[in-house]
Amino acid sequence: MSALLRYTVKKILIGIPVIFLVTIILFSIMQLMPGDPIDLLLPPGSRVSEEKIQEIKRTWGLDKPLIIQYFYWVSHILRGDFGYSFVTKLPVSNLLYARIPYTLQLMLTSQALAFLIGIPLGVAAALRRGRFTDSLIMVGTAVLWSTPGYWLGLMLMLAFGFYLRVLPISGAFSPASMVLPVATLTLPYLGMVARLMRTEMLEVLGEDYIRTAWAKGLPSRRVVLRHALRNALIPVTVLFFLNLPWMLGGAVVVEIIFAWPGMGTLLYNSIVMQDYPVVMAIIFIIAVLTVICNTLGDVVSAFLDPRIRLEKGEY
Amino acid sequence: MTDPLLRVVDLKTYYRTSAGLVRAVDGVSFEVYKDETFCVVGESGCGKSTLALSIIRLVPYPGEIVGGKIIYRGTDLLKLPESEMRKIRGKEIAMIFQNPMNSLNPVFTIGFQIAEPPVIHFNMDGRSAWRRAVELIGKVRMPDPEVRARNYPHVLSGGMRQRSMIAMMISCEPKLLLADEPTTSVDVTVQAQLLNLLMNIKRERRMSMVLITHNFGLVAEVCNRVAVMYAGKIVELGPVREVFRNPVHPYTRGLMKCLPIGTKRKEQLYVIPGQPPNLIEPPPGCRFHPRCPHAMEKCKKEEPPLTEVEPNHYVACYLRR
Ligand SMILES: Nc1ncnc2c1ncn2[C@@H]1O[C@H](COP(=O)(O)OP(=O)(O)O)[C@@H](O)[C@H]1O
Ligand code: SF4
Ligand SMILES: [Mg+2]
Repeated sequence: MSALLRYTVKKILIGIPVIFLVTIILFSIMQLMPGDPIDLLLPPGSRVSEEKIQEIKRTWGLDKPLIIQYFYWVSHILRGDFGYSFVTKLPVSNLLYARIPYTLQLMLTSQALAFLIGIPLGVAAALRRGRFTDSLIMVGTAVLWSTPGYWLGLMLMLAFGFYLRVLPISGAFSPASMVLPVATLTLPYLGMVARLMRTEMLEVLGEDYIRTAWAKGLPSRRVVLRHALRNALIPVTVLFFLNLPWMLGGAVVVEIIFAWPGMGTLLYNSIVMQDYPVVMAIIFIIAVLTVICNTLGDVVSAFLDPRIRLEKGEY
Repeated sequence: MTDPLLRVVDLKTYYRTSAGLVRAVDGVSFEVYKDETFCVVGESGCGKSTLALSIIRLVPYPGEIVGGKIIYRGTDLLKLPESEMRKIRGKEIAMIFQNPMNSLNPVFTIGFQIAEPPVIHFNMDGRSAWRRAVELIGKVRMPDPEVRARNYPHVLSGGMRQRSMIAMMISCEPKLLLADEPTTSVDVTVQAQLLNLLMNIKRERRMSMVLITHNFGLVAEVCNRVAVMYAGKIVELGPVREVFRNPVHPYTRGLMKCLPIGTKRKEQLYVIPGQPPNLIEPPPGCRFHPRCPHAMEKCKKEEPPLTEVEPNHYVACYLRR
């Protein structure tokens, strides 16, 4: 087995217990909540016969000890069955399926834009270190990075929605609806990516192996884009994955501001209306996403950096 | 003698640091002839690396070549545009660096890194360049060249990395090899092997070499001519036998006294008293005078010029006249 594959398996094996820990915590919270757990499982307010209730109790193992109940519950949520919403009385999974695509659309577009713009900006600043372009990029990204997302969102709304009246400020009715939420998510993050990229690039450009590349007579394009960028991109790529959960966090805020019909607004509304099954499901999804992204970050960095997958005696 | 392959004339390379102007190389002149091994020896910090980096014009920021000429086969390298200089580096003049641990790119296999120069300089296709890399890996005596070619640098020992470095730098058959303390940072047990390898390759390919070292013992073994550097200047220059038989400059004599002789243990070795000077404000007159046992009044005021004391043997010292 190759070192990379072994490393990947190791990281996944570390990730799985973390997800189980999350399920244990969520299950404990559910136990502490007032009311009969059966209420979480039945369509609320529905008139159901005693036999039906007994049957549901059996399938969910509610007549069994707590530890068995836990395993029944885990097996259900792993299949995507999170019970019913208190408020809409619909299965939680149906609500989620309707919302997740919107959130993904927002997150992934912003994430992609931040990297596609941030990386070249950072490289450009590094290559023109100390000159005007560099200063301009550094000041600009510092401003962007230190801007709170909700404030930026409100300002963009004010500028483009109220004064200029060129872009929609709420909902998701047309592609134009995406512009302001995506901008709000992208801009601060783009600043961070550009600054990290510049730092990494400058560090790598000062390495001995870059001097070696010059000494070989390689053209500057090749030295910069192949030898230096390839190394400088490693931490930036890892950031891409580690930051996805934060992006989701940012999306929650942005969705609320712009009434974007994603998981963020769903979470917000569910908290306000104490719709626990929905809140639980979303927290579970965020936790799992965090674990998956961390694992991916580790694996990708090992893929890009042969030093990480080094094990003793391995060639 | 024939025309020199390389002629360095009054070279000055300074670093503009916040503490002041560091005169790392301050008016150095010498020639390197075809097939010759020219040694530059001196304590650490006297400007040897800066000298070598100046020759291929890779002095790092904030360093700058502020004067002089570097004439390689009739062309002044300091006048070439960067694009032309690139065709010299690696192809005509190659350089082996002191620290093999950081001098190879960690994310590429050594095969890739060795194959790269021929692809760039000779437009060789990737497959032939790879075959050539494997050959070169065998040439520098690494076992299992096919396997090694696919290795990343971090799995190799310091000695193996330096061998890869040699393979990489001879891949375009340069005419001049600059070797900056090539054996200093590898394990003591492989230093001799590595030097032998380097000298064999040099002889076989009929390259000229500038070998930089702070180990005076090494000089006697492998060099034709030697330049002794002190505080950014050459203080003695001549054929190795001549300099060893009749060292004139007190600094050269000091370096020779430092050599281990017979069974003497290291702690009993002689060391030149004092420290090499700060190159921001070097001592006036002869830069060696604060440490020189023979210093005279004149030494503190006027700088001794490099003069021929015997045929081809130059010394910058007032002692002999
Ligand atoms: N990048 C640099 N910036 C500032 N000063 C430097 C730099 N590199 C070398 N120097 C200074 O130049 C002088 C000569 O250094 P160097 O050429 O490395 O000497 P050597 O190779 O003989 O040890 C030293 O005084 C050193 O401090
Ligand atoms: S010139 Fe004077 S100080 Fe310098 S080495 Fe000769 S004797 Fe010593
Ligand atoms: Mg040095």
